[in-house]
Amino acid sequence: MGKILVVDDDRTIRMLLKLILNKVGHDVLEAFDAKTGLSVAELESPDLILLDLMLPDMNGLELLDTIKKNKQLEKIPIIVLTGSTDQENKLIALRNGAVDFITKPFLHEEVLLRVKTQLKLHNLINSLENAVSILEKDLVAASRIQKSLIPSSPPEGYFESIHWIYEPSHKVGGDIFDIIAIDEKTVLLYLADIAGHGVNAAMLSVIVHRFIEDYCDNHPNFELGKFMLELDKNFRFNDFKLFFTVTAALFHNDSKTVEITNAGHPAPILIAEDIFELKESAESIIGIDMLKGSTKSYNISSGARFFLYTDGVTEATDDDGQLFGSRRLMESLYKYRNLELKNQLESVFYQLKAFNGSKEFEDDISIIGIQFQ
Amino acid sequence: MFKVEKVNGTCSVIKLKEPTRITGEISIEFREWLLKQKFEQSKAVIFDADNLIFIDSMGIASFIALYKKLSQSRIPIVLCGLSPDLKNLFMMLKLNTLFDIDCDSVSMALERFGR
Repeated sequence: MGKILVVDDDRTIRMLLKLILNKVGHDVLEAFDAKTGLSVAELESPDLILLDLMLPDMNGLELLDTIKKNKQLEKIPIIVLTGSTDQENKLIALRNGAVDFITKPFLHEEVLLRVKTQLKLHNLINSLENAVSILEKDLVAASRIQKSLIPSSPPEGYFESIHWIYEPSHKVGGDIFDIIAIDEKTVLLYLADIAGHGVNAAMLSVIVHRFIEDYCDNHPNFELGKFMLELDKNFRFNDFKLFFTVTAALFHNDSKTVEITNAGHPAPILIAEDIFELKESAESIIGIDMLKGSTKSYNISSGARFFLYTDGVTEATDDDGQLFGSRRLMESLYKYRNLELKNQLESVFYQLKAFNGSKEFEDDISIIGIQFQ
Repeated sequence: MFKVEKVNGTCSVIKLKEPTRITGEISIEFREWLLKQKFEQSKAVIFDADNLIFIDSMGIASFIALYKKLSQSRIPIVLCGLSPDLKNLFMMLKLNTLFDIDCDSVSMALERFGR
């Protein structure tokens, strides 16, 4: 049962409502004018207010407005009490935040039904808000775990510089990457994009991250093609109901080459004299038994820059629904190629954000850039 | 939002009732809806992408889940009328080996798979 505040200057109406509501177990508070109504509401935080629109010191609509603007009281459902000819005020009240109205003279049964319905709705909304708040806290915790997996300081000595932009959407996302030293001369960089967002995708991204770390630890003679086949074998669509795309690049500092493999991911980009997409090793996504484990090696020249990104970048849309696209990304990377790597990536990201406008990104945004020694 | 029609008594044609972005919550809804449908007696499942503005990875996962469900019975899944951007997306994922994405219209797909 609820605590109900009746604000009405007519003592008979207050007494009658109190009688009706007390009978079924509600506690009833009374106020004869707006000023008293407001202070009782602030003091007692009732579950519902029955508000007459004709009050001696203030129009009921004004009190409604004051309550709806008060942070402490705004969520309290208000049912207005009106005369049968008061059509316009009924509409104004509903427009301004009242949840229902009761026309005088009223039937006892009607009062009880309307109050019961609104209290039930109010309780449901409260439970939902609590549940959402708990879920949001869980998401923040999951996001913290996921972000802790992103390397804080990449292994040194392999590249001239490395920098990244990593912006998970919806607090947690499905993008994950790592840089793992295989030996003194070889280092692995991968970027994976798990389908979807939220806790499911984040959980799988953590599992994938852990799997790859463990695989590298236990395979001193690391082979990129075999590694991809292991991923395909261990992350089957049938088991996880999700798939992921991944690009992995193995940098060999002694031979100045990069070996690339790509499972359904946007092609890496290389900027040397010109700008290229490294498309040759592209295969299908992980988990549906279609991978052959093919790789392709490219020579790398000193000062060249290499970029990996996820499709959240190219699939960002402007207000007309146009995609940012890989061509625009390449143009942007090329335009800022003479800046320091960090500034180049930040400039590209700035351009992407401007393109996307004020809305949130729909997908995770990851761009990793490397400059070779 | 989604509907399915039996055409010529042989093919199931999935249509979007209005221009739709199959992303986020809609992707999840689409997957649940798609996997509930009974396609086992169809010669082909044809998805009319005429009203499809965009599909995210979860939406694509719906088609893969359907492919897995129907793979025993070898029923082809045809995505017809994909926009060039979406066609490129399916090709980048190499999913053109699982799905037919070459038909420009439902009538072309029916011509090819409905006989």
